[in-house]
Amino acid sequence: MEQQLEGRLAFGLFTSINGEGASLPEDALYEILPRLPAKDLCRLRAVCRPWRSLLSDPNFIAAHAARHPDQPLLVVVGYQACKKNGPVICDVVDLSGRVVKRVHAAGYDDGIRTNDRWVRLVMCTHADLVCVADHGFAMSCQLLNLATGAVHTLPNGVAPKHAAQVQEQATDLSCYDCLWIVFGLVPSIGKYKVLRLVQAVEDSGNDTDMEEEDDLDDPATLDLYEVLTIDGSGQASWRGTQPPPYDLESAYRDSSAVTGGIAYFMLPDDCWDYDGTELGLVGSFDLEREKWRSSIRGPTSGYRATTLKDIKIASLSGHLALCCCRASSSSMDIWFLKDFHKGSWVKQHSIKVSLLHVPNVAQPLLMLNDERIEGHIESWAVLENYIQKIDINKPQMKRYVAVGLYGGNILSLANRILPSS
Amino acid sequence: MEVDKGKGEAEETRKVAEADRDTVTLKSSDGKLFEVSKEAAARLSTVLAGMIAGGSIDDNGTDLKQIGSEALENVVDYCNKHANSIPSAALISSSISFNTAPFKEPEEWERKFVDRLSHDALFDLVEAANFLGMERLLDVTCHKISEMMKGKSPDQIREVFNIKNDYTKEELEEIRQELAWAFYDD
Repeated sequence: MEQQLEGRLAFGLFTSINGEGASLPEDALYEILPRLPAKDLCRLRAVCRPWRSLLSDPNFIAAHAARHPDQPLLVVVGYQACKKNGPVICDVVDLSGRVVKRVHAAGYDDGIRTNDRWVRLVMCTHADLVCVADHGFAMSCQLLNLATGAVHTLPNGVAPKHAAQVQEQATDLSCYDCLWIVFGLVPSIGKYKVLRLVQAVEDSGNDTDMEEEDDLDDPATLDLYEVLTIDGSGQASWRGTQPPPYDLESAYRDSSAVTGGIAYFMLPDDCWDYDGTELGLVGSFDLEREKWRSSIRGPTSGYRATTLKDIKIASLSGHLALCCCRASSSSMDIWFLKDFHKGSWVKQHSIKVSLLHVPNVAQPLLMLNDERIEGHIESWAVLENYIQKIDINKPQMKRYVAVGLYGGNILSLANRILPSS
Repeated sequence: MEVDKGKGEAEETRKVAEADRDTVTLKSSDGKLFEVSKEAAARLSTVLAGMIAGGSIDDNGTDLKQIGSEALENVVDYCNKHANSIPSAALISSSISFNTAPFKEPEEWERKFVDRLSHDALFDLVEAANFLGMERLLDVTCHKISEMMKGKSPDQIREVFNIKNDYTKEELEEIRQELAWAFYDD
């Protein structure tokens, strides 16, 4: 029978060993291959060139994604790329910790920016986009599309309104520093918007001389909140927006989450007390309307947080999730925000976590669909182990500075392996 | 399933009979004749449905020169089995190059039907199903082939499907390194 097989399958999509016959229609391969999971398809790119072409085709990938709504979970682990750490700006890893894609910082490999001062770091991630910035003068920001390799450089400078305001009010402030930046998809317009806090500061070069000057009357810094719409035209510019009705100056990098076109922020610990009863716990910005919303409190019952580091917010399954660790019972409760206006939370999950892991509990990343929860709890632990592993067992790897769920397509991500033949 | 048509029957008788018959006769490339329910053929094959509607069915056996007797026997077998299973089994939508409709899982009897086939017979059946526009049978056979591909290494795929490796050794090594994660089992 093996003899008879020779030359049987020749779709025109590949060459059979003896180059004979075209006994199976090409349609059949189009019907067969989309049924395979993405991981198999990535591996089968090594079968032959025509297969690689088909399996890398954007139309094929889109059709495959439509027929496989449950994509494998991938995590973006962002680093700081610098002379000390090396050129890797981020890794995309699967839940076993295997690197699916390693991304180098632009400008590193070609030697343009390898000086000691230069550090590029991942600020935040969303879907298949990663936001990277120059550390220290983080005004230079780029959105990196991991699947296509496209780099979208955000405009330099601040909103014209802010530039004028700084010039008018605080002439001694001559430098800008970006304290944080978040971005997310606005579903109603199908575009991404970016929100950032820029601080106008004194030129650091004068610091030593000016240090003892009386700066009680004049603010040493000026906070500027700005929004940008990514419309792909390259013509976008920053727009000034109102400051929030709460303090977000000291928001942590990992204390924000974007879901449903709303950017949420954990408020600094002086904005809430231990019961979460008097002041708000979570602030938010409506990216579509470009308006701040009033802060909301945490869950009022069954909720006790000892310190801020025991609470993280995250975007899970399209909900804002509040994750509270309870060291006493080695568990993490995950609350979903059910109604923003009522400020009502529902305890959706309670996950057992190892005591050892509690102190550096990661921002939960994984979708917790009810039918898939078991596997994902497990994966969550694996993921955390992975993060520890890269710190401990692989000294050549850097400390991560940002972690996010990769929302793109694994077949697109693994594209561009070889230059096209 | 194969029938031996006597040659003594009169032409007139046959034509009258043809209109009333509830089966059609199909002739394979190697001249063997098979009889299949007209209703099932029309329902499962767009090509046969067109021929029946257009009156181009030959009572002596409609020539299907592209299909060998083994594959045609399987086609007819499938049609008969299908007719005996749930009658309302829906056909999948017509497939174009990049179909986006959700996959319809084969039924138990359909799995068994393709599981017993050799690779050779399976590939022939794909070809026959495609030629006759039998969407559901194409679906079932392609599902089986995709199952055969799952978890296989590129080497194994090339061997089973007789595909020439047109990569250089260096290129292959580069792909293996780049896609190392995809070469591990979960």
